[in-house]
Amino acid sequence: MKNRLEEFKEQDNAVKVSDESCKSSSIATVAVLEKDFPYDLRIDNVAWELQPCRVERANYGRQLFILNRTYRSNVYRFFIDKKGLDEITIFSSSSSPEIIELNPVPLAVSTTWTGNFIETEVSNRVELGLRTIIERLKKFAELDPNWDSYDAESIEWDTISRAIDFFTRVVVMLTKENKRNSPVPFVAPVSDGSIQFEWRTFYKELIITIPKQVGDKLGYYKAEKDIVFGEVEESGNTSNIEDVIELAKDWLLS
Amino acid sequence: MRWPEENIPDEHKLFRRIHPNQYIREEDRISSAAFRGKKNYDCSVNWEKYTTPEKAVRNYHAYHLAALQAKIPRQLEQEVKHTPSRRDRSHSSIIGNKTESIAKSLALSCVFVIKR
Repeated sequence: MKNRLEEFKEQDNAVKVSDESCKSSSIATVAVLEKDFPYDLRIDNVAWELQPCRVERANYGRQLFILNRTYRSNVYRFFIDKKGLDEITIFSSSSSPEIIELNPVPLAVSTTWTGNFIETEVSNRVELGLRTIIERLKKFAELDPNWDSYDAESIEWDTISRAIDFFTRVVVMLTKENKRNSPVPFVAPVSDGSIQFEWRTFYKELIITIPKQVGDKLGYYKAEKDIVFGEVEESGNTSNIEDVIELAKDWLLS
Repeated sequence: MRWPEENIPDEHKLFRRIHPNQYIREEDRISSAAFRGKKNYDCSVNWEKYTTPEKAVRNYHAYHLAALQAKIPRQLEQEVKHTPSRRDRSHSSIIGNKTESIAKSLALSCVFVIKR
């Protein structure tokens, strides 16, 4: 019987796990950013949030995300080494727990850091739609204040990176569900500095709003045409991004 | 000079410039994002009484121009108010909480006056 690690490695989008030590002398710190690392680390089935996370850049161009955590009385120092589009390696300075998983699985995308912005690159396994949307989202950063001619607020990099993170998670979820022909959303800037995703088919619609401020709630709206009740609408907001990802999942998979 | 505020008749048109990023070309429609307004509340428009479509987009060459009658937002429980500024006598506002449903209804009720 395969152990969980072997099963995990055999997955198409498995993360490489190693117990090698990473020599800290090879690391030259370029930037230390207090930003969310867009993955949850699971160790022995316990989720550890990787935020805030120190981000350091190795002197040979790789990027390392460093995490110090105490777990079961042991101190672990993890070096999450991003080498390319499809590969993340996790090193630990002490003996690794048996199982390390990253969620969402990172193969579909690769996230690197440029200045204070998460630069997400896309592997060629993911639909062109993801790349198109991400490129469009990045362009929103070029919108100056008053871009709508009615005193609109600019679209901040932070809002864009959260929008990319949201959409990436949705696409990863769809990839895992083997749903590759989902409708591509239209993304639009909103004059209050937020970003709106719109999915629309003939008989139903879903709108998710990524707010400008980190602490503000995400908005959602869904509508469905019903032959008896006409258009049935539901809207609300939530602080939890997982809620809207779940909403998108239900909407896109149904 | 401060312009007096006037009542906007229901059947009069209100113009709204539409940024290219808020126009869904594939579906030839305006995104509801164009009517969310700042803080989802105020949405500026230009009253046809004191402007023309050409004037409304004179300095905004890439923008589309959409129009809707004043009665449409009123039917959606929005206040339509003439709010002239010193430089723009046509400036008006659609005031009220723009839920996604309301923003969508406003966007769907628009007709294009100038499309780039």
